[in-house]
Amino acid sequence: MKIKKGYIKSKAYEGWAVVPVGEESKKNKIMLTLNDTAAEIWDMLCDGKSKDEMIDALKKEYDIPTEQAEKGITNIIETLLKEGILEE
Amino acid sequence: MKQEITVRFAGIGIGISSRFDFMERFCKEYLTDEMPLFSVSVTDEQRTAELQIATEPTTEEYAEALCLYREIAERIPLFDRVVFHGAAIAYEGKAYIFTAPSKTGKSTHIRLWKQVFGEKVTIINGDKPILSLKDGNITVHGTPFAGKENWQNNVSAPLGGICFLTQGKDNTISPVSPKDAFTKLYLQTYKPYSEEAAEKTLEIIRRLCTYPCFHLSCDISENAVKASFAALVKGESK
Repeated sequence: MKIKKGYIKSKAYEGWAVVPVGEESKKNKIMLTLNDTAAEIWDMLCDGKSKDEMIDALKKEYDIPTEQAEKGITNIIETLLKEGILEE
Repeated sequence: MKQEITVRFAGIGIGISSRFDFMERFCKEYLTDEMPLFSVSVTDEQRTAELQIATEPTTEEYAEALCLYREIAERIPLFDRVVFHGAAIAYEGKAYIFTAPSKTGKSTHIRLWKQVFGEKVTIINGDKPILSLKDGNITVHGTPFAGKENWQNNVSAPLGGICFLTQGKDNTISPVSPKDAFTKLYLQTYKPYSEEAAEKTLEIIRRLCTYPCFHLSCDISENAVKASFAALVKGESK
């Protein structure tokens, strides 16, 4: 999985915003808003981390069970896939 | 033969290279002798593409004008400015913007403001004003690109507040939080191609969303103006 080229993450009023730039800005006019955890998942996806690596990272950082970390990551991935921002 | 002019939009000089003398007439209130900070021009391909996507019959020269404004919109974020989709008026020294998707009734609402308050209201731009950010303050500026009614004046005023309009059977107005306004404002702001300009655009929206923002559900009546006036000017809302 990787984030499609042409999206940037920047600060929103609260949390973070992901918006299209370049050729993507002509095709896609959406803005996604992310909370801090979602933004971390975004960064890990940009770094090419696998789902298991992301689950481990979230478990360590937030001291949460595997299921909770996996659910959070799956939600973000599904949203990004639906919006065409993430490529399998 | 190319026509070269320099205009002053939102306080900065911009060079425009055009194939038609239409631009000089169109921008006559904005012409300047100053040195431009940057210049724009459009290719024949851009002009042809603009004509193809036009939703209403348009001339080649007006299509070129729209392309030129888009080129300007691409560049001005680097100078802390954005092109915004909304109808902006000035009332007692402050600018108020009414924004909504096309055909919602922005023009109708500012026409009603003119009807109620007469000369006290100046239309800054009926469709696509420029907003600038300086020292943490947003100013609203007129440009000649003002939609089909062509309501515009070469004036500027500090922003007082923003209304997101929807059509309704009654006239109610309620505050919009900065968090919600941020997303709504992004939708109404020109989205540039370059990453640097996009970052600058978001920086301006981060400030813009902290101004008083409201959602106005309104009909076509003077009661709609009473509702938006009470919230925007008097700071009263339900």
